Amino acid sequence: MTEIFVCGSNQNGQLLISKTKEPIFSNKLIPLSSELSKFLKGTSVKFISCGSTQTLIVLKNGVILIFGILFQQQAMNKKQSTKDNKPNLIVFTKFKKKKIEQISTGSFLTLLLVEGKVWELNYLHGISGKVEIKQVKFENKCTGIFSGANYQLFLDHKHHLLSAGICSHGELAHKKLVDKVDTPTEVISFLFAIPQIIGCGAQHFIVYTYAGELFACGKGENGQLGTGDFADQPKLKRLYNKKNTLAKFGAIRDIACGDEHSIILNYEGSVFVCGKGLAVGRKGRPEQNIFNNIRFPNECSIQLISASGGYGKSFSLFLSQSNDLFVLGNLFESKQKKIENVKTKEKQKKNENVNKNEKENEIEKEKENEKEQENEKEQENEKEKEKENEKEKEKENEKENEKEKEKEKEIEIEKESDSENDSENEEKKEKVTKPELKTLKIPQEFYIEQMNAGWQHIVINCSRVDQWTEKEEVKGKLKTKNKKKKQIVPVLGYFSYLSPELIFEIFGYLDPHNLAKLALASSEMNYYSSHDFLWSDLFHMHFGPPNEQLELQIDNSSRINSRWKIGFIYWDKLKNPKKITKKQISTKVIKNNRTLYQKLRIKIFGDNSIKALMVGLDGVGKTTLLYRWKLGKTVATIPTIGFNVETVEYGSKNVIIWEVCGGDKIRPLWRHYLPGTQVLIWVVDSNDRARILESKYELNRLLSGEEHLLMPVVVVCNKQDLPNAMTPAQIVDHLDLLSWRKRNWFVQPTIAITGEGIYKVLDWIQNNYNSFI
Amino acid sequence: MTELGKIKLVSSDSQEFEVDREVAAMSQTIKNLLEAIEDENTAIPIENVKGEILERVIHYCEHHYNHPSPKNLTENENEYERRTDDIEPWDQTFCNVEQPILFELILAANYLDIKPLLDVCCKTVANLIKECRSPEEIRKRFKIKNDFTKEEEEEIRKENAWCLDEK
Repeated sequence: MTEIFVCGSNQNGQLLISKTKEPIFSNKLIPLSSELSKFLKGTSVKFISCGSTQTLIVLKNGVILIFGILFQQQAMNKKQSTKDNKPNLIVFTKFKKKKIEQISTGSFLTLLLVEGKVWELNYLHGISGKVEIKQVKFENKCTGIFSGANYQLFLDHKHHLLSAGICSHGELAHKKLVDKVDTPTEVISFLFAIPQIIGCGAQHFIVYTYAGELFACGKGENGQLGTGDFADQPKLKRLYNKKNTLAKFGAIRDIACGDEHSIILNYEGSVFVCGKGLAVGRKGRPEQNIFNNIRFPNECSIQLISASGGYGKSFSLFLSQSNDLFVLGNLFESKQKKIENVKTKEKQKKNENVNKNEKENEIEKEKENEKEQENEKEQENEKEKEKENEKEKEKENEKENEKEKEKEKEIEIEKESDSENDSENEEKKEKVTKPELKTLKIPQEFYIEQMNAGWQHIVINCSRVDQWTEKEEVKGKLKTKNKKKKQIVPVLGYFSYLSPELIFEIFGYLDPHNLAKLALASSEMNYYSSHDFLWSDLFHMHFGPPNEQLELQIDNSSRINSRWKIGFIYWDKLKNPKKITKKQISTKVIKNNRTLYQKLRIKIFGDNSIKALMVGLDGVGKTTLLYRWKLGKTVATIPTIGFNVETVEYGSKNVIIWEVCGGDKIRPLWRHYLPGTQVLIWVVDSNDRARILESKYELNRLLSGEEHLLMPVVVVCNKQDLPNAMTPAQIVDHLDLLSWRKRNWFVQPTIAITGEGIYKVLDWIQNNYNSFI
Repeated sequence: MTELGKIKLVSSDSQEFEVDREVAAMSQTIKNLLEAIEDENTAIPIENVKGEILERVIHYCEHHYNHPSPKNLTENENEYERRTDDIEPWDQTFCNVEQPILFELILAANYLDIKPLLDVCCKTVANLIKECRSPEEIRKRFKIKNDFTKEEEEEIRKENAWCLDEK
C-alpha cells in the first residue's frame, strides 16, 4: 500500500486538487490515493520529484505522471471555462516497461536517467499543456544526474563530474566564466575527487568525495556555501579536508541544498546547516556562513532530509528515526506584500533567463519567438491571476498561522546568536523572525519512504504499515519492551528477530511446496526461501547424491525447474571444488551421506571448528582469498551475490569461513552474520586509497555493538603487489586500529592471487579465536 | 551465597534465577563459561536473554534433565529427511506460545547453545509454516508485509508454479 501526501501551494495545480474544491494553499497533508488509484493499480511508486511548481511521480512500471504545470482551464487559453477546474495531469508513457534509474528536477527541466541514457523533459512550452522531450548528448555512460534551478550536473561511469545549463553565480564550475553551456562539459577535476554525495541547490552545490573531502561551488550570497564568507565561488572550493570533515561531521550520509541554505546529515542522525533562514544567525552574522549543528526536540535523530525553496520561501524537511516529519523554514508563513515584490522580481529574472535561453537556441526561427511572446503575455495574465490568488491565500494563511504559532516549537541552537540590530536596511524591514520548526502530522499507520519539495509545495511518498503495529502496542508490557528493543522489519515479520543462519535452520525443515509459498509472501522472504543453500540440500534429499544419469535427466526434463539445476551446480561446486571425474564423485558422496546443512550445522554448533566471518568493501578480493585457502589456487571470480561458505581444513581446527558480499546495499546486513562468529576477517584493498575511509567507517559500524567489544579481528591488507599499495602501517593508521584497546587484533599483508601471506592469517585465527562463543 | 551445586543466572533485565549446575550445563555456552570461571558464587550474566524467556528456558532444561529423552540424536543425523512431526507431547505444549516469545526462545536457544531446544522451536515454526495453506496466510501469521507489485508477484508465482501445483 502506497500513499502520496501533498501539502503547500496549489497555484499551478501541483497538488492535483481542483481549484474549486480546496484552498489554493494547504497547510495540511492531503492524501492523493483516490486521484491516483487508477494509475497505481498493479504497480507502486518508485520515485517522486518536484520542480519549481511541477510534481513528477515515477511508477515502477515506467509510467511518469506529471502535474502542476497548469490548470486545464489555463491550458485551454481561457477560452473554455469548464466547471470542474482540474489540474492538468500528463501521463507520460514513453518509458513504459523501461528501467528509470534516477530522476531529478530543476526549475523548468527534468532529467531522467533511463538505462544509462539521459533524457531531458522541458516544460518551457508547458503552457500548451505539453512536455518536450529530447535526449541529452552524452559521450560516456551516465551514472548520476542532479538538477539545480537552471543548471544540471552529471556523473559518468569514470566518476567525472560534468555540468551544463545557465551559469549565473559560477555554479557550472568551468574554467572560464560562461553564461550558458548546452552539452555537458567536464568540471575542472580535483585531486582524489570521486564524488560520493552531491547536494544540488538552486544556484549552488556541495560535493562530498570518496576521499572524505567537502567541496562547494556556486552562489554564496546567503552563506549557503559554508565557506565562512558571502562570496560566490566560481570554482570548486575545498571546505574541509579529510580530517576536518570527519572531525566536524562524522560520516556523511546525505547532503541537501535548497535555494538559500545547505544541510548535511551524518550517519548518527545529526544535522548541520548553513545559509539563510535556519535558526543560525541572520544575514551578515558569522554564524550563518559556516555549518552549525542543530538539535531537534527530544534529541531525536534524523534519517532523511530534503531542502527547497523559491519565490521567497525557503524551507527544509527532516524526517526523524521515529517517523516524525519536521518542516523548518517559512513554508507556511505569510510575509504579505514583500513577498509579492520578491516574487515579481524573481519572475522577471527567470523570464529573462528563459528568454536568453530560447533566443540563443532558436535565433533562426522567428516564428517561434513570436509564439513565445504570446506565451509571455499569457504568463503576465497569469501573474495577475496569481496575485489575486495569493491575496486570498494569505488571508487564509494568516488565520491558520495564528492558530499554529501557538503550537510551534523552537529549535535549540548550540551557538546562540545575539539578537542585535542589523546594520543592513533590508533586514530591518523584515520581521525579526526566528525560524520555526513545525511538525507535520502523518497518520500513524504510514511510514515515509521518500519526500521531495518544490518551491512552495511538498510531496511525500508513504507506505502503509499493516495494522499489526497498533495491535502490538495494545498488548502487554512485554511487547512494548520488544518494540523498543527490536524494530520488526515489515517484509520479514517475526523472522526479523533471527539471523540468516537461524532462518535457514527453520527453512531447512520445509519442502519445495512450502518454500514456494514463503517466496510469495514478500521480497525478503523470497530471497531467503529461494536461496541456493536450501535448494541444494533439498535436491539432495529428493534425488540422492548427484550422478551422471541424474544430470542427463535434469537436462531433458522440462518439468524440473532451473532452481533444481542451480541447486545441483551449487551442490557440486561446494562439495567438489576441484574438478574430479564423475566416478570419483559418486564414491566421495557415499562417504559424506549426511545432508550438507546438517553437516554444516554440526560443524557450526559442535566443536572442532571455528566460525569466521570475512567481510570488507566490494572488490577487495575476498572471494579470491577464500578459494585460495580452500583450493590452493587462484580462481576467476565474479562479484559475490549473497554469500559463500567454505570449510578450510588447516591446523588443528577447521575454519568455517562465511564470506559475504561487500556491495554497499548489503552492508547493513553484515551484522546479522555476526552472532556466533568467533573471529572477524576484515579485508582491505591496499591500493584503494580513495575508499580506505569508507572501509574504516564500515568496520566501525559493524563492530559498534558492545557485544562485539572482544571480537578478535584480522585485518588483511590485500593487493600488496600493486606498486602504489599502502603499507600495513599506513592502513593501521587510516583505520585507526590503535584506538582499539581491549580488542585482540592483527594485521597481515597478503597477495591473494599468489597466496603470499595468506596462511599466516589462518595461523593467527587458530590461536586467537574467541572460544567462548 | 548460593546453595551447593547451584549457580545464579542473571537475565538482561537483571532478574536472578537459581539453577542446578548440571541443569544449566545443558547450555553449551554456560558450560563453557562455568569451566572458565573459578569462583562458584559469581552470578552469570546472560545478557542477550530477558527474564521471561530465561525462565522458560530453565523450565525446559529442568524438565529434560529430569526426563531425559529416549531418542538418541545421532540416529537422526543419518536420515536424509528432516522430520518435523516427531516433537514430543511435552515439547509441543511447551512451544505452544505466542510467536514473539517463540522467536525469542529460538534466539535464546541459539545464544545459549541448547541444541534440542533450538531444534524443537525451529520445528514448531516450520510446522506453523506448513499449516498455512496460502502465502496470504503466511503473511498474516508472521506479520509479513507484502512489498511485491502485482507483476512481481505473478512472476514469482510463475517461477514457482511447478512446486505450487504439486499438492
